Amino acid sequence: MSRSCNGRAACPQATAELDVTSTAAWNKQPYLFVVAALVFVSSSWAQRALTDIPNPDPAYQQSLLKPAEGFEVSLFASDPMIAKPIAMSFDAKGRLWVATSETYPQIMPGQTPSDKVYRLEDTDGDGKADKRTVFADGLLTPTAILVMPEGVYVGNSTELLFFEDKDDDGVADNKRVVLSGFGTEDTHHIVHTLRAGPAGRIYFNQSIYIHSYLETPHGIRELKAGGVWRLRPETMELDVYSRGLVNTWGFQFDNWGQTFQSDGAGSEGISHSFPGAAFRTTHGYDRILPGLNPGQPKMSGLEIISGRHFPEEWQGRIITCDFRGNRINAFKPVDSNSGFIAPQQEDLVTSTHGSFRPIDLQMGPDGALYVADWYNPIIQHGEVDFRDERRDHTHGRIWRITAKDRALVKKPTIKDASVSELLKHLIAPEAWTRTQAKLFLKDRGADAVVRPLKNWVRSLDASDSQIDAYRLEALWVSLSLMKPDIGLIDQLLSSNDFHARAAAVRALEEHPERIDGIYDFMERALADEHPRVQLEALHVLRALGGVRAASLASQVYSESMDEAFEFGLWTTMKILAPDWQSAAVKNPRLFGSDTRALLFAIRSVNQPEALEPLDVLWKSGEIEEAVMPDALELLGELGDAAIVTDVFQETLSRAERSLPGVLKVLKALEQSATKRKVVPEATASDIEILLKKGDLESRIAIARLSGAWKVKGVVGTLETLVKDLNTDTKLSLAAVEGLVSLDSSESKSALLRLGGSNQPFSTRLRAAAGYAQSSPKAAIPMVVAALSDAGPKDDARPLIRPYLSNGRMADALAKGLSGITIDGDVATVGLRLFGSVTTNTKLLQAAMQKAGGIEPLNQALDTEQMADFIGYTHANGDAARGEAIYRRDSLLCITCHALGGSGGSLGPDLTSIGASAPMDYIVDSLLQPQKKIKEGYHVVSLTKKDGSVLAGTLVKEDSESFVLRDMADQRILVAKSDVASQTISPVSLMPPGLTAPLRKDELADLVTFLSSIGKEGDYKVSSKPVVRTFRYLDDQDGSRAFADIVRHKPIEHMVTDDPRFVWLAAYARIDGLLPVAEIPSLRRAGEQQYRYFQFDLDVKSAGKIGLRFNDADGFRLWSGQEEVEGVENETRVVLGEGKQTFTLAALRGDRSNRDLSIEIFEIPGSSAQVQVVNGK
Amino acid sequence: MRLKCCLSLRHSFARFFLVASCLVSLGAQVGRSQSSFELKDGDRVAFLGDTFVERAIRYGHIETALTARWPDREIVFRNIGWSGDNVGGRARAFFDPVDAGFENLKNHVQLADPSVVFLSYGAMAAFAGESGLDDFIQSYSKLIETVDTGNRRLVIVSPTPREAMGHPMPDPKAQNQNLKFYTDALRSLASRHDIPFVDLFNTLVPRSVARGTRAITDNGIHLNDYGYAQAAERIVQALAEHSTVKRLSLDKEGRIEEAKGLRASVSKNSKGDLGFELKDERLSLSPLGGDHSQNLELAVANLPRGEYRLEYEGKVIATGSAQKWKRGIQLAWEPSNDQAEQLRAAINRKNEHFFHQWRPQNETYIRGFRKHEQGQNAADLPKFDPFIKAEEMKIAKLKKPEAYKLTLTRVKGGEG
Repeated sequence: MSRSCNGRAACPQATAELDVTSTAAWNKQPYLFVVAALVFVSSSWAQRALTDIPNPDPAYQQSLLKPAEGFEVSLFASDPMIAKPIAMSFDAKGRLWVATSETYPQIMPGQTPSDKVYRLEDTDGDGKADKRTVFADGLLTPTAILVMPEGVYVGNSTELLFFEDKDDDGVADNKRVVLSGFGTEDTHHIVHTLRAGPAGRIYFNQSIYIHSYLETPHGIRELKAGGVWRLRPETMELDVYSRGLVNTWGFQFDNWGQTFQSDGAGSEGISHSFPGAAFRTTHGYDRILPGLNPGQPKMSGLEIISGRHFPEEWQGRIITCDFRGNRINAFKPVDSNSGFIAPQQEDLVTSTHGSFRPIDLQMGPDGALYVADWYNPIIQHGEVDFRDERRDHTHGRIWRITAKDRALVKKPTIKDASVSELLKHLIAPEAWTRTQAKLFLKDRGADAVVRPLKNWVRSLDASDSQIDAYRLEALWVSLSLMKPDIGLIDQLLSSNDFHARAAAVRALEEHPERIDGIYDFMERALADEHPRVQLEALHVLRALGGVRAASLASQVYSESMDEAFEFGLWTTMKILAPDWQSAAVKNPRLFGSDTRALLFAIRSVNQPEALEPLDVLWKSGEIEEAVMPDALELLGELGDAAIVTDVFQETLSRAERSLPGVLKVLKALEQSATKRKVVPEATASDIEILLKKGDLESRIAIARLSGAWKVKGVVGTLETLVKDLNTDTKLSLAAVEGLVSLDSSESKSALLRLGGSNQPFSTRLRAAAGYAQSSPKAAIPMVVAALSDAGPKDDARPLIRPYLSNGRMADALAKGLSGITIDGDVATVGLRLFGSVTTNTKLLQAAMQKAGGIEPLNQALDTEQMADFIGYTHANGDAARGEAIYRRDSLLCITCHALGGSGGSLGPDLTSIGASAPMDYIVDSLLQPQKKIKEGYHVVSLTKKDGSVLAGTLVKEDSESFVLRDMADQRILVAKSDVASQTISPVSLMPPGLTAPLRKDELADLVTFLSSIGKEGDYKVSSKPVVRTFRYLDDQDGSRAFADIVRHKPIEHMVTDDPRFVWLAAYARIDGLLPVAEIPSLRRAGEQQYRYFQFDLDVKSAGKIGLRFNDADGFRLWSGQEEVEGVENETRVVLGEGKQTFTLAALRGDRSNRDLSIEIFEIPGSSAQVQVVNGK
Repeated sequence: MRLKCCLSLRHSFARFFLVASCLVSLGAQVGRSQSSFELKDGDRVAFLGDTFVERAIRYGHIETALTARWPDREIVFRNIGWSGDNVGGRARAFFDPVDAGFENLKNHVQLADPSVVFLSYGAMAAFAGESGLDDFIQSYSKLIETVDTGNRRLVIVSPTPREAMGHPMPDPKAQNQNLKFYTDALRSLASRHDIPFVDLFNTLVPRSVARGTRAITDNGIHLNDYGYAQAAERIVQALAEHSTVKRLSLDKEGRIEEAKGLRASVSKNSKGDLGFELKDERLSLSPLGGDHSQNLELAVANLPRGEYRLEYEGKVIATGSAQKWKRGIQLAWEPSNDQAEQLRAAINRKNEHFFHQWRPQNETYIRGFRKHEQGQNAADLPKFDPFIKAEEMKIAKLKKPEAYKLTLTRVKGGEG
């Protein structure tokens, strides 16, 4: 078969093969195609496909490394000098120390650990290492290294080790354990990213699966997930600096001491961190900080460019490695309120070499950037076998990135420098030099340094534009010597530059209790005009503790806090709660006259015991009317039975007076009923009043609640609602839910009546689903009847769902289905529910397959079949066709997975899947989703006390409840008091058989597309700020009322937030183009057909920005509700802060089928900071 | 006997050892009903505890000392210590709520299948001070009841004392006060359950500048190599006190006057050189901790004036005048010292293999919630057994003292 034969039409052999493996064959006899394929694909080609590994010649690899314009990449060191480098650190003499592991991922039985730390030297200064010393041997998976003046720290599996080399011969002569008790539950999660902080502490990270219990002279320290530790070696004080993320394989300080982290398995790119920060995956936190680049997955290492060798525009850029995508990314951090935004920039290096795995970055003493290339075609061991033969154990490279035609920095003398020379290094433009100088000043000790440091500070020119930076360096030295220079803190706090003021406040966080006049500093910081300075003060207040600290912190509460700031205040109030709670009971105005500050504080605790001060204020009538809805909501959420009864009565009265907040409070009461089993006393007539007076959503809520509260005498009311065909669909469903929750003999009789054959089918369907929940056994005949009558347009899943949580009931329904016929589509949709079920429902599954006439599938491939299929895919797969298949609604790919942050979030983001996962892994994952499950996407299975089982991914867990997200993307709230046991289940939320309807050639196309994603070429998600997630309007199930609005209301009405509009998600292709032809058009009076789209921008800072259309012709554009005049390919708009929605309308004839792309561009001089809101 | 122990150490090799040894005796005496404690042929010993227990496998002193104590008995040791663990097995919970750690702790004990269990917890619990003591003792009782399945013998080992590391490291005083409370409570607990108790808190001697003693910890709380060697001595002496004195003396007639801790025969050749055929009762554990206090002391009273050297396989291992030999010379090195080090190395290798077996990396995939993905790799775990066995066979051989020969020769031209 010709290798160049890609297109189906031009390839007769492939076409012939297709005939054999037509839909039917592929569906019903999955092995048939294998036999057919053997005819065409030689097995040797197929075998090669499975072990297809790139040529390891360094020169060849180098030829495939493409640096950004103006840069070059050279080889600093390579195998056999080193193999499998994981982490690097430069010493003060400019020698590069590398921690390596050939043992990873798992030691062999009987093997003696022999991983090594190497010291590499470039003795002749030609930019290549020419001397290697084995510094330490006998290590087990060392994943972290930091060279300090006093010795070398190495993260080694369960331990953090410290080595000395007193004679400096490059061979360790002394070893001791600094800390032990780090978990090793996953060898790519163990201690990593050792970094020297600016003020004398060392920092290191662990990843999500690690549970560490560390004994220190100050007590035990625990971290049972990902996070960053910080240690002061001379006192052994150890604490957790920040929490969360999945694989936070990057951490670095900027010039002002702000820290940034990257994540190797999350999807939010760079994160800005600070003391007490908590990100995604932090256990037990109601609030977390968002990352700065949603949709940017897979990063390892993090370095910030500084120094004279790199061009000006690269200064301060954050560099991190997209090791999956074989490239090195760049981001530009920009101050934004208390935090940052970090728009992505052009890549520093890209490559098509599949083994190029950049994982650690260090700025060198010469000003060049050094890259540890782990070099491996396989990157993972959770999903690819520990002993997979493609796994590389022998190669590894260190690359050096330099700017063309720019001088390197002369290596500074540091180790043997005098104190005064070291002090001079504090003003070096290179962060590396300044860091080394600080480390050695600390090493020289307070006696030798404190006085010269003071003199040096005094000698600085106060009019120098960099004076703040110099003073800050000096302050850090004083902190590292544990002799904080209060005068410098005072000076910096008076600076005009908020960066300096924020850094001065951060310095106080080290040991606030030891600083005289700390509260004066706090008052100044909290009154600061810049939110970052205030945020830094909150970190200090947490460290200080006490009522005074809490009441000071609450002063910065405002309604317009940015996200990072709000998190900072929230965590402060939460951590200080034991200090302020009893004081607030005595003085409910502890946090001032604005009740919202108190609400915020109580929310940070989110426990009933914090509620009392608010209850006191309410009962004494002291709550402002504007705050009442929020106050009642909180009282409803946390109050006991007496309080929630009062809250309900107040709500009733507010509904009668048409005051706002009714729905909000009802929702809070609903949550209390589910989570805490706390319900108000309510009567049927109360319910009647709300059903009359409330708006639609309130009526929906009260219909449900009346059941949950077991209100006497409401059955008739609810039954009438369901029966009335004019009742809104959602209200009718809620009334059924109400009847289900009532769980009385009357309510069951009502459901039985409603499900009777004399009722319209829609009513029967709803009632049967409800009855199935109430009395699953008795409901079987009704459910079977409804199933057999349901057509392809009906959603029959609610009929089946109640039987999936209980194996016995499932078997009973299976029996009931015998001899029954169900519509094939109904059965197919229903069968997808089984994918994530953890109970034994095999009989029911088989019964549904039989009733629906669906042949059972076994899609697993053995090694030979896999090899053959991969050979076939290499020869015939087409990525463009594959993308079209990926986008089919029926496959649910887009619904669950995101590309570049755009798409569903039920499954992992696939932005670089192709660059990281071997093709056989992708095929396996499609055919047997449960075989490999990505970190963070495991299904939690909850067995309730009633014996039923619920399964889904864990969205949130607090002391009272779990929130699961199920297969249908529904959030389910489960009270912990209802749960008997909890397990992590080996099933995938991705249902098996999704790809079953595909022909063999289609599956090959899909696999080709997936394995192209993220590789250099057409299927790499661009780093430009492109709108990827749109919304559109369709005909809303042919709704007459909606069609009337579209036809007759003026077109301007389409941009209003009319609650009757249901906007649906549409996603751009990987190339950033939205296929406009896929969007339905809606008819207006006068026969014109329009398409309507929306997208959102998040405006961090107001101002003017540009929208770049590929082709704006034929569009009308609204920003909010205001039409933008004169839409052109480059259109400029002025935007206010916050989320801004844009609506586009295009006349079908004018725009026909030309695809659409929109990119955001900055306008020079504009203050605007804007991010595209992609996502679901 | 105890008195003799102190008095018999009449040499000035290390003053601190004298102090320490007397303290050992005191420690062993306090609250002790264990004078009859022994490890029996066929015993399986598990060490269960926190960082103190886990880090012991880096050094091997404790296990080496217990192994050498009963050279003719077959005893298997398994270290199932876990850094940062508490009596509730907290550090062993993996992804489950901390309570599940206790279930895992039970599994770990099951895996070691011991007849004797050394328990060592409390160093971190003591940070809670008096207010945490009741909880601690209650949980410890639960642990004892769980581990003590009737046919198991238990030993409780107290926490170690905290050492002053000097500014800016924290002052150990307050925590030592807490540790004292906890040690006292543990002693009572042990006595209530009739369990032998080893008091390391009161018997280990932290570094003292005044007394010129060496540091026993790395960081004030965790023992270093020397500290573990000291702890090994204290444990063996507290449980199964025995004389570590090894002394051979010849009287004026050249007859064996005393042969303590070894079997000996002496011969004399035509040149007057003395030949010794010796076999130790137990391996002497010197130079554990850098001293050689357990090595042979040889006293020969019948030598004509002159300078003599003691040789082993042609290597001079001690020299001295007739007068010195008459007083007795303790050997800085003796042949079995190497064997003891080989024994310790084999024990360390065995423990390392066992560590990778019972506490493998990548638990998540091997036996945890992702075992459906990579659980096939659990097949590796039984493959560690032959490597553990192989080291245990070496240990069985190395722990038995071998016969050796020494010759004492007059150095020509020697005067004295």
